[in-house]
Amino acid sequence: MHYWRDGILALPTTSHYLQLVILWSIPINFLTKSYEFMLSAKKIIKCLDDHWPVLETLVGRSTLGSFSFQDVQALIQRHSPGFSSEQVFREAQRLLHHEVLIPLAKSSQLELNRAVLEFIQFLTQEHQLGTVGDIQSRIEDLDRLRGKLKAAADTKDVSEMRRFIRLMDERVREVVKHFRKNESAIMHLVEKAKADDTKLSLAKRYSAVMEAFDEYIEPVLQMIDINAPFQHSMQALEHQLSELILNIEQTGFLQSEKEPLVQLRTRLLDMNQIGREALIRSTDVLMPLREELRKNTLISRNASALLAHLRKKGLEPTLEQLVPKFSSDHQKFSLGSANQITSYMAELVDFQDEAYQMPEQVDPGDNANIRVPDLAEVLKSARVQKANTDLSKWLAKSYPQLPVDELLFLYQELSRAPTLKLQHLEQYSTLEVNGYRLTLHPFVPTATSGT
Amino acid sequence: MQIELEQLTQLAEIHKKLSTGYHVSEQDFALWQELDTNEEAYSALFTALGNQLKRDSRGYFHFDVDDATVNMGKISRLFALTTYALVEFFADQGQDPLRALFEVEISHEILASILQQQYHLFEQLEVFSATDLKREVMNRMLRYGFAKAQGEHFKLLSPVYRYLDALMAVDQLAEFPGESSTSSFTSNQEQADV
Repeated sequence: MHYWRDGILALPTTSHYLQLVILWSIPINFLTKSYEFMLSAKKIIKCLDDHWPVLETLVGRSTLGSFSFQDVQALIQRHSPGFSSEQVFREAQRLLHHEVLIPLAKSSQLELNRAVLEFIQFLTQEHQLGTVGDIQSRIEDLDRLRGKLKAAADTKDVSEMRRFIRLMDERVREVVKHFRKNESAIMHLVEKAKADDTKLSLAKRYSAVMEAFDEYIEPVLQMIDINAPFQHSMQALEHQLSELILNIEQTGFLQSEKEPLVQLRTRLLDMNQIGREALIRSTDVLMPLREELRKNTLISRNASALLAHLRKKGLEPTLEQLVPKFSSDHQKFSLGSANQITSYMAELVDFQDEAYQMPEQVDPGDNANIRVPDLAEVLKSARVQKANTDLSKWLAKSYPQLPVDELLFLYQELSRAPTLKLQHLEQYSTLEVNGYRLTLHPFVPTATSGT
Repeated sequence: MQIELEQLTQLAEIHKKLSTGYHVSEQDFALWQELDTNEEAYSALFTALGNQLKRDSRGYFHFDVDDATVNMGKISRLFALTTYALVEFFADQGQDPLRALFEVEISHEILASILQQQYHLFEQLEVFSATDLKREVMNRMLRYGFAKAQGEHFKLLSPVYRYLDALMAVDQLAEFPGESSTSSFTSNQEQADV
């Protein structure tokens, strides 16, 4: 929107609202015919919503002239290919019924309802340039109201004062609306002239722009010139409002009217500012064309078209698809960037399993499963079996699969056991256990224990 | 193919720059020379590493990335907007925009002018002053190899062609149905009558 540099951020919403109200109030003056049924605002909005693309196209066409009912049907068909011909007819009828489309006098041709047209132009920021007269007449009206307000204030007629303040407020808002609308219209004109790709002579290409300059910018500049009547009325009005406010502050009389007066004065000063800035900007964009300075190349034409598109449709959706992409610091340092994942996934597609020979399991033999016999049990069985041979040989024979260390542990324990009554022999005996050769002085039972 | 890594003397530097989004153009003499001579080897190596080395005939190398982070999207948008605003600015000055874009040194005054002209667009990208523009856009352009510093001023480099190419792809945007420049006039008069 164009409310930047205003310095009044609170204003746009209210003025927007008012613009809508003004736009929608037009048909009442415009359509003097009386209709039996009420126009339903909600239904019209619904209509606009349902057929927005159709209406947008019609707005573009309406600058070329009227169109037929068949044209509308064809457009609806194009934007809703799924519709049957009956549905298309019904929808076209609906537009007509809600007076979005209006038949021309004594003709079967149609045109867009003026209010709808202006509303759509407002929404798409493709305003048509108004005339100086629009602004001039409001200013004159303000002058007239100033006199009335003064008279009402002098006679202390509160209700009249209130009415005039409200009217003046309305006029000021209208002037601001016109300034903004016309600025947007000039932008639109300039953009179209710049982006036009037909091979027109410069004079033709810029004809609309030239006319905008001569018919609007120049007169408005003259109007708001410091010595022109516009400035005088503005100053007089501001002076009068200030006096009234001062008077209220001093006397305390009409205190309730102070706030609207202050508001009006602020809006009036803003109006002046907005008008000047809008004009400066408009002149800035028109000048290069008027002076025929502007260089038209393919690139400059596209740049204009794109910037215009961005202005109307917003930055994000268009630039999003357009701008070149390049990687960032962030991407460099983040491991899981989509790029890397994509290439990883791509590699997965070609994945082929490869037979890998696992190393043979080393057979631990049965040793692992052997139960180490309980010492008490061994002792018992040694006593019961009256193993009166060499103790080590008896152990090796009774527990052939026992690991050597376990065997030696048992041997040692048994040798110390008092119940077995063993004696230590002088001579060596040798035995082989699980591949180990042991040489030891064997324990054998004493002669007495054997019997 | 056999890649002799010993021969790619600038590999570390080149990879570091390209992978951070830098565009190597002819002004980076050593890197450019290196890439120019061993383009095939570098290209093969980077492809194996998952990056696509792209060479543009107008004199720059860059990595072709198809996924940019959100943040980069914003930076790239700013570059695009600035480039197009400059084209518009130069054209309005009566200069050939393409030539001026690469020949004219971009001063603070020029930045201030384009900011003023396209304020409502720059504003959407949170750029509110010429100083912002210099800091957010021009300094970044230096960092990504789209521009070089000339004292206090900037000069755009050939990688900017990436944005101009994108601009040439927008032809279809301008086509709004039923619109022509001559027609707006008749409707002015119509409206005046109302």
